Amino acid sequence: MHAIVAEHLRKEYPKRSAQPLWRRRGPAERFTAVEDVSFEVRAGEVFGLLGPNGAGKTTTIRMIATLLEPSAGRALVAGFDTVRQPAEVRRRLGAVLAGERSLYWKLTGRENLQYFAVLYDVPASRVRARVEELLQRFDLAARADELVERYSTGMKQRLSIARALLADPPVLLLDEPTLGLDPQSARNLREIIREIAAEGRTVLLTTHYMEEADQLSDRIAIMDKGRIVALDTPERLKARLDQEAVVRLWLTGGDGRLRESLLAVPGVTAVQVDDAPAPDDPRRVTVQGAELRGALPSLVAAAAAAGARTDRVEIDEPTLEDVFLHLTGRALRD
Amino acid sequence: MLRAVAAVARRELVIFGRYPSWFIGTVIWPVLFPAAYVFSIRALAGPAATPQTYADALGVSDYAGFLIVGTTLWMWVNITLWSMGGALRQEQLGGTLEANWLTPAPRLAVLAGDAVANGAIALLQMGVSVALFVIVYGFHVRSPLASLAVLLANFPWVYGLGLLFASLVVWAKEVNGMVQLVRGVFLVLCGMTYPVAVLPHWLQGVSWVLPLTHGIEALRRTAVAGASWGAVGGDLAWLLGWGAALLLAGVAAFRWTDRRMRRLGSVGTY
Amino acid sequence: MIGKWSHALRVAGAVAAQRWRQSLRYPMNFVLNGVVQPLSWLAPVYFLGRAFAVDGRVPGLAAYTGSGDFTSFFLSGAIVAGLVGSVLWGMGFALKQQMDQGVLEANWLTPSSRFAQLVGVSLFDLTYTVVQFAITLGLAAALFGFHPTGSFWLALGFLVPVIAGLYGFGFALAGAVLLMRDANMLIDTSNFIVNVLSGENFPVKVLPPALLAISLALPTTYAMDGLRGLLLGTRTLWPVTWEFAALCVLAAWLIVLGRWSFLAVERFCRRRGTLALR
Ligand SMILES: Nc1ncnc2c1ncn2[C@@H]1O[C@H](COP(=O)(O)OP(=O)(O)O)[C@@H](O)[C@H]1O
Ligand SMILES: [Mg+2]
Repeated sequence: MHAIVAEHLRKEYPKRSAQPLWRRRGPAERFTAVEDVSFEVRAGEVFGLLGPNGAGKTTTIRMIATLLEPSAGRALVAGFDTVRQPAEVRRRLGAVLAGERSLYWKLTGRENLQYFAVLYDVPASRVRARVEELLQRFDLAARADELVERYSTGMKQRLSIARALLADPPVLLLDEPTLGLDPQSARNLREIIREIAAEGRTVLLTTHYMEEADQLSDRIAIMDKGRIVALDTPERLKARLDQEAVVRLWLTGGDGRLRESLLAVPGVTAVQVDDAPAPDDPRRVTVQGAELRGALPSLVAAAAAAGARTDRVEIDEPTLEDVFLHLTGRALRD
Repeated sequence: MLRAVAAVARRELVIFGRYPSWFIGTVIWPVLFPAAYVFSIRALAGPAATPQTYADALGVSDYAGFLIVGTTLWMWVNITLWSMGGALRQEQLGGTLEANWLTPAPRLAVLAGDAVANGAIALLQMGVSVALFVIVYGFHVRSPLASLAVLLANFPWVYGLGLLFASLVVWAKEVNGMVQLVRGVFLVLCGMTYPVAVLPHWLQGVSWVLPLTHGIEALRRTAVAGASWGAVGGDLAWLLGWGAALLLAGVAAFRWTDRRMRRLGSVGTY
Repeated sequence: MIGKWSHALRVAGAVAAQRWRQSLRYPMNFVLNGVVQPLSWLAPVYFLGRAFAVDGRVPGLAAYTGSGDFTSFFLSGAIVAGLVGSVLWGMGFALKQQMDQGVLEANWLTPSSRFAQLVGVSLFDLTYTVVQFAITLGLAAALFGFHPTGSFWLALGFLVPVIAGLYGFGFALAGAVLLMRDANMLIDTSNFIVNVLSGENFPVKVLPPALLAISLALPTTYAMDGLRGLLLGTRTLWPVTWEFAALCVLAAWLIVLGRWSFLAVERFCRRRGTLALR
């Protein structure tokens, strides 16, 4: 049986209005945040939802978490319907959705876990041991009796994950787990997620960092504007772009015509211009197309025509970011 | 279910103890608030006041007791509205509401735990208040048992209202205006500082519909004037009737809000 | 120096203007907080007065003050109390909000004076209070009756130094908010205590000696007493001119003290690095 099934999920929100209630006229306008999203997550799999901000990842994961009712379609967790059997679903689910903000800052780490253990229906005789075990495991034991308000962001995030694991759930949902963490804490957290997956749990995670999706996920669904635009293993997703399909140029200078100029080169299908790390540094420009090796001289010439000097050229392995660019014509990063 | 209620209640109590301001709320305010009106009463009675002056105006000569009953009950309602309405809204804004909602514990149990904790804190605070009233105002509870019964009869409607309020606040996303409106009605109409008989005739009719009016009146008669059960039977029935109605309305409103939040996606910050 | 002050004034004006704009976007709040709320707080004392009244006058109050017109007595107390509330809430609460939203540090990093920002925020509340009180007073007069017998304009002059003094108190309170963080309770409590001790709803003569001593150290006491003397012809504690002098001296002293204590707290917080915390 599949651990998670999403069938034609769709979510419409009433458009947010700045107007107070009594000034609004007519029926509320609707906005479709998620449209016809379907996927199946196998038991024990790590499944990533990758997409830029506003793609609908959070909306999707919240529907699966029973916090939101789909406008159409349905979601199943361990075979239970999230709308008709929400309690059964919640019994099998651990979730980290709002991260650090979802903890009681005026309670200690231990008190937070003990409190939620009761709500997660951990048997009374097991609460103490289970909490201790998780505090140890997530390296929180030494400061377990301090108020959460004194914890660092990384510690709060670990505590949220510990809470999600209290009831030993087979399925774990993580929404942007490393958002707002420093690189070191983010690395630690990814390691933790890998360990959790190695215990045989099913993990559904959302992220807009392509490295994170790439490193952690067995399979990835790429989302854009509320829809899934591709779904496969990271390797196969990248294999959709053949070798020689991605060229990276490091360019200094250049004006507003750069993108247009490169797109005009025969064979080029997409161009992404990154920001320069510093004003006078070279910036990375990704060019996608077919058989680009032969087109290198034209690319350099096209860059020069837009006033840019080419410092370096590489024919590169495609990344998930390239896949996204290929599929949508836009950059994954904002 | 009961375990979840207890856990929520415990959580609330621990957090309550950790805010330094609990002291002000428990010790300072209950004494301070009636003080303002005690001085007003003395001023209105004039320098030549006798016990009869007070009895003529208020119905009892123990004017401090008369005030204490009114202010204590009104403050209790006020605090319940703030803390039950405010707490859920804060949890919604802060993100902990969602964390509770994600557990398999029944949502109503989480809310009931809130009410239980608030009720326990209120009882505790009233105990402290009465002790302080004895010291500061020389207050003397005349019929303790009947008074306690009257006090307990107020619990269902106060927390029913709290529950209703919590749901409305999550829905309306605004606490201040709503609390002020409701507590303002009680402030103006329920005889907190005055005998209801001084209200214009038509307002008295409105006043006697409200549960707080009966709560204050019954407690004044038992605790201050020393009446027994029998004298306040009608008030008790009225209070319990309101209790049943408000509890039911509270649960219904909560169910409705819960569904609405799931449709609109506003359990979280939105 | 002039440049610094004109900048401060501009900052204060800008802050006040932007708060007005925000608050008028929610007219319901304006009506509820600004008009309904103060009116409803008059009810408990007004009806209490009725319980003691004989033919619309309270003989006991007349024996204390020389005037039995209890509604006018309470209303003039409410005018000063409204000022107290608006300055204290304006200073303390705005500071707390900025701390919560994490913009306090950002605001304080700008070159404008902290006092100018504090004053700016509560200037809004002050203009708000004035508008609000004009409306409330009109309604209250219609509902309960307000019969000033003396000079209205002379009485208004009495309020100027008390506002200055309240700003001093507000600075100190803002410092306390920085330290304690639990602003609501702190402001609410000090607001209430100041109003009670200044005799919002009774002549301070009825206070026991220990409380009376504190009361006489508050500028607001003289403001309420003097205002009533001028408006209603009540017997004042001292001659009105003396009271005005006392009011001015106390207000000046409060400003110095308040400024000093706010700066002390701020230095302390800077050393401890606790400005940004919630
Ligand atoms: N409760 C809500 N009401 C209205 N619009 C919403 C709500 N929640 C999210 N949205 C909108 O839906 C879209 C998708 O949001 P979200 O699912 O949070 O995307 P992601 O998590 O991929 O960044 C966004 O445009 C967002 O503004
Ligand atoms: Mg998101």
